[in-house]
Amino acid sequence: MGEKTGRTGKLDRSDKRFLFWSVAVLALLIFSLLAPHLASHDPYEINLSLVTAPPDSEYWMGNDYVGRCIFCRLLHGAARSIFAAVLVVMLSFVIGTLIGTVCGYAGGRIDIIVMRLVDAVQAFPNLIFSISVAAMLGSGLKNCIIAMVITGWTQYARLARTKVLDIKKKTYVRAARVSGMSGLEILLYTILPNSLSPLIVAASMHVGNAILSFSGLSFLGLGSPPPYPEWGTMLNDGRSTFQTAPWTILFPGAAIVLTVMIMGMFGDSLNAKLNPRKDESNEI
Amino acid sequence: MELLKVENLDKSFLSSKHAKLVHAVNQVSFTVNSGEFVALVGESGSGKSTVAQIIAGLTPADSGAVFLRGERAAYPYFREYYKFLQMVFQMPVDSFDPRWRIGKVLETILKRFAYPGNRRMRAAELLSMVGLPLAYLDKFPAQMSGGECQRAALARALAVGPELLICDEITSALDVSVQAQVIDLLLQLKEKTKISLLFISHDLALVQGISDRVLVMKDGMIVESGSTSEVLGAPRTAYTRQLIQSLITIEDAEKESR
Repeated sequence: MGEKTGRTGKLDRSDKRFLFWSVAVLALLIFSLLAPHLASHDPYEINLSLVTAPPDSEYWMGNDYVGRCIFCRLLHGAARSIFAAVLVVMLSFVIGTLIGTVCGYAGGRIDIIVMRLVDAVQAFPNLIFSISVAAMLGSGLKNCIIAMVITGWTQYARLARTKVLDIKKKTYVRAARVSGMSGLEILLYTILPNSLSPLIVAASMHVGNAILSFSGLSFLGLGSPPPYPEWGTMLNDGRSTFQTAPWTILFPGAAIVLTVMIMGMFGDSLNAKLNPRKDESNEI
Repeated sequence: MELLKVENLDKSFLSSKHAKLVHAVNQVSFTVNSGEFVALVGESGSGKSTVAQIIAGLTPADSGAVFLRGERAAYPYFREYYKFLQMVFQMPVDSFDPRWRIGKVLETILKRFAYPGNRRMRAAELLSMVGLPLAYLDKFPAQMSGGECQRAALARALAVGPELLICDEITSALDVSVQAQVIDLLLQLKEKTKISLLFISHDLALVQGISDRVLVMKDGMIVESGSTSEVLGAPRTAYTRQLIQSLITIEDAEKESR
């Protein structure tokens, strides 16, 4: 994988693309952490003289229906919207991979039961399932995350299981046994690391999706309670005013689209790098 | 001394292709003595690889027993058994984890079996033993040819200093000139060390040059056994004659083509 290109010191196109998008993602993450400190106004400050005021030099993105600074609210919401999504992906990844790996390795009855459960969860459209779970648990960021993990882990479980079933048959697993590795060592040091690449790609693509569904849940009022500036909540706030003041919905929407796009492109470039179609010899 | 003894090994499994029970190994018994090179020959599907897998502790037998140096080895195997017996597989490149450099593979196995000295140096020594240059310590399996990988696999097997080496069709994925090199390597081992070999192959020409004793397997049973010259010189069963016949025909064809 990267070693060959690393040796010659040359970057091919997929390397360059990957480098570009990882820098973009890194910049986005750093920005979202610093964002609250860059805000020029208090995001909660209500100013009735500025209700739905258009963008100007002081309020770059205008003001919302109670005159709050949209720009400052976007910045404050960034960290929470992005990191909630990252947290959802991380939890889903760990739980799903663990369960899928054990199912693939152990097989038998556990495998059948868990995989039917996965089928059952995946039979529902993801967002609808999350909405019903979040509605059951009540609104709030924590419940939102739980709801999304409950639907999210299944794709990792399925991927991990398939990959483990494939790797399990390889000669090098038998060679590892003859080299004196125990079953657990083989699972941890041989099977799991060789199964990870499609899972990592799935995770990087999942982040963008999670931001989107997360905004969706917030939009429906299942995210953090109202005064908190979540991107999806801001879209919802702008719903009543967007015909007269389109900026109330334009900027939060653009922030979501931009973030999802960057995450998606990053996932795509990672996929191109880890699974190059032209060079199958790495996969043997 | 009896290094390896298998007694009445039996194994069947459900064939996925034909959905019927295949009796892969049927009451197989034989021994391998210290320092002896024994060949197990037969067509593909005769069950010889399954016998190897059972002896190496990679799959359980339905019944029967494996004795390593007189001690019964029950499945699953203890780690200590692999200090005594090692195995080299058919697919050279596939028998290495693609993410590990050869050096790391060798050092890891040396560490696991508590090699007391400098492991890096020992790894280099092992590579030179199988005729690979030092630089291969830093190579990934995908950067090596099949023959080179098979040499590295031999180095890995020899790392623990085993008394018994099982070679399961180790030359069948290599081309002819490379086959000869690997066989040469085994013959050198025979001269220099006291290692015993269970050489599994379908290629009688290779077997002829390397083994002291031959076991012929057909449909899961051992149909003939004896010293190499006995079995190949004066075969008692029609099946062995047939195997030899096909070998001779190939040799003749080669001579004619020259």
